[in-house]
Amino acid sequence: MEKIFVKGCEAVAEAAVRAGCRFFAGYPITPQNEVPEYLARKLPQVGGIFVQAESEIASISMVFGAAAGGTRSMTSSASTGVSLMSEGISALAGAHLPAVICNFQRSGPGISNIQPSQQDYNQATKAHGHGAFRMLVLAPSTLQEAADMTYRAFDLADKYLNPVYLLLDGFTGAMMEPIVFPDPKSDEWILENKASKAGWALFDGNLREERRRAMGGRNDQEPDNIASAEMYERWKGTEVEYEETLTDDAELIITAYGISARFAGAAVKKLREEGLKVGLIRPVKVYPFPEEAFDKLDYTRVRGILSVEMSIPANFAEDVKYAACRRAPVKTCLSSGGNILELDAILDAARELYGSR
Amino acid sequence: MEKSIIVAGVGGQGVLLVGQTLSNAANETTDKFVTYFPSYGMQKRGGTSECYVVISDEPIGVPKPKLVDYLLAFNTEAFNRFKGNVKPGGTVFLNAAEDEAESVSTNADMLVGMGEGAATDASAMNECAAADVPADTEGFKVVRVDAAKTAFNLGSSKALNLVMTGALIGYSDLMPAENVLQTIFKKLGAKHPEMNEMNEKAYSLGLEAGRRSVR
Amino acid sequence: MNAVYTRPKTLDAAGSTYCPGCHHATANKLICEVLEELGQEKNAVAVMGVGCCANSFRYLGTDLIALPHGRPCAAASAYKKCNPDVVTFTYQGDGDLASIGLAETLMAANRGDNITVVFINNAVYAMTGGQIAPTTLIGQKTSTAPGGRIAEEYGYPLHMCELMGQLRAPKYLARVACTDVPNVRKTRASLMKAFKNQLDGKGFSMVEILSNCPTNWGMSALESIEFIENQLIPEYPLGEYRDI
Repeated sequence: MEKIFVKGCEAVAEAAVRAGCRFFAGYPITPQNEVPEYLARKLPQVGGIFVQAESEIASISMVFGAAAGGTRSMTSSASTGVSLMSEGISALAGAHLPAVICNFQRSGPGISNIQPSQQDYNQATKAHGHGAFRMLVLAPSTLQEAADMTYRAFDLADKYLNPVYLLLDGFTGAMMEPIVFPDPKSDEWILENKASKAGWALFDGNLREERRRAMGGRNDQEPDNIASAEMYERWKGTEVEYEETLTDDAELIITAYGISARFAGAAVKKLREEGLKVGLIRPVKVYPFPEEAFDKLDYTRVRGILSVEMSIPANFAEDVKYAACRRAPVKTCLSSGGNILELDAILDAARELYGSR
Repeated sequence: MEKSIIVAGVGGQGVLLVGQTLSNAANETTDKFVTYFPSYGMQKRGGTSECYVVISDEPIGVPKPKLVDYLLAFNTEAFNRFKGNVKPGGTVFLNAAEDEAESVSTNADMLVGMGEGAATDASAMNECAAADVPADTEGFKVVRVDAAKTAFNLGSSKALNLVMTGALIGYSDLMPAENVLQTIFKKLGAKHPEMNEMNEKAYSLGLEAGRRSVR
Repeated sequence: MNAVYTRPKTLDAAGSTYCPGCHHATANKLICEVLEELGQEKNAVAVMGVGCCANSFRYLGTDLIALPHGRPCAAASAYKKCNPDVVTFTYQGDGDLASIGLAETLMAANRGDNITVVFINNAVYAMTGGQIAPTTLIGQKTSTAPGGRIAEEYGYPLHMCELMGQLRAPKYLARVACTDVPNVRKTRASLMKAFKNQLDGKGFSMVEILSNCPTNWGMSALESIEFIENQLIPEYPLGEYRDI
């Protein structure tokens, strides 16, 4: 299979097209401009629609409109812009519409700068808008994964009738790496996919009494919230996804997601070469959080957990602490403000925690 | 085996193109893993520009390493910015006159395609203050490549980046020289086949300079 | 016996719960009549934001997309691009269309998206209790401009038809009212034109209906009609601002 050397943003964009995404709306913001630029060229070639919207608010509202008609739809932005989308993401969740939202995280808070970060973790996993909804949050750490997860995200959105969130970062968006793309969905498949949504989607005069008037506000909201909560709870059984590396005999666990997990993996390798028993837990989805990975650890052996992320204050580490449940000390190794993690800093923090029992 | 490279210079010098060419060549002609990470910022000509390339036999953990094996510095500013990021025993390829007394003054030509406003930045861009850079310093070797002059003599200062690429490939055993040349033809020649001949010359002169420097 | 008039089937038989005398009910009925006359009542999607307009989802028998305040034009544009054969219209109030959603509205108009916009301008935020709107008249008292609108504080009433008249893309822009039978007939004709334009693939059409709000204006239904005639229409002249 031919490996194509591709930029992160383009890996996501091309994978979306191959997954049958036929509508994209977005607004320029660094570091993800290659996503809309790629799709502006590509979507019209495959009969899809590309719109550069007047704002991120309009972008997500357009995705809402396209999704309501049963078209596989996506938007992409970076931190500041994703904040503006909160309203529409909440609306998608409330209306049970499938869509894919990409966040190539950059430094915050506020406008800050355009360099990579992982500072939107809490926003992505816990509070992406008002109204206490949840989304599956996928966090690729390589470009191959970014493409594969984008492809999968559309299936998950359709399956659960809920927006799916790809938590990326400026580093992943800008870097290049050879990958193998998943097979493109055929035009026939895409038509069938849209037709399969006839139970709720609005197209071709497809009037559905049970769906009509249910797209927006409700006075009897609670039963719907209860059903959604039950779905989120089921995800904890079916959608948890994580990767363990050398954890069986590990006395120190390093944990990280997304781009940080690459650096953390390199640290584990280096420390093993030094003879230290170190393992890696990498949440592949950060929502639902893989608490079981931490429950499985033998805490008579594990001296500590080092949580690594590009966010100050730490966000991801809070979930790690919750999952570890005081059974082992959790320390952090952090960077933020657009500063990229340094391998040496992870190694030093790990060595210190390893030797501190 | 893992080798890492920083290519650094000024926007408009083709810095990122060198990184992409090396990465593409490694991807297309070897079984190795490869990552490329560019600096990105406000879109601006004449600003600083750099990228990281890692080529490895194993999956790559850190696409932006703190210390690299090779630094391609397209000007003195880039050298100063990244000399602290070269491993002990590493090699720096510096765009500078091989004869320290000789000054390179091709600034005007470097402005081609950069717009009027770039004039002030451009003087910094191609100023190769060779005299103040010692041959071997701070634990790494410095290979001077008279890339700006070589490219200028070939008729296009834009070819500076290919001279630098050639020097790296000629000096190191990263990849067979022919592999990289084929990628240059494929990637650059696709849009501008008429440039193939000059590109090959620039690359070859760089190769020779690199090979001459192997001791 | 021949029926000379019947309720359009697309309009909910239970009747409206709009305040007595509110012209929303008239606008709802006219939209249904026009869609039925065009044979599109089973092939239409209404896109609504938030406000009294959104109450219409109870009465309009078309399909519905309902989303946050101000966003109908963005969603309608996207929906229409993906489903070009479905009649797509927004039904929006002045706060929705001309304030919080001004960017979405103007940009849809400027792109010339092939949608129909029905704009109910009653010069107040009605559902929330009568606050000052972009279209509130100078001197008009509202709950958040208790002394009346002062230009130095809130600027001047926003004229959407005139504003959109500066754009090249819109195909039809009209301001109408439902104050009497001749005006209701004109409103119906304007809606017909705006929907026909969409069926003909011509592009963006907007019908601005000067409406009333007896409750928040603190008037009887008849007084509110006089207010439209004597106050609103002089500020917002009726007519077709664009027809190409």
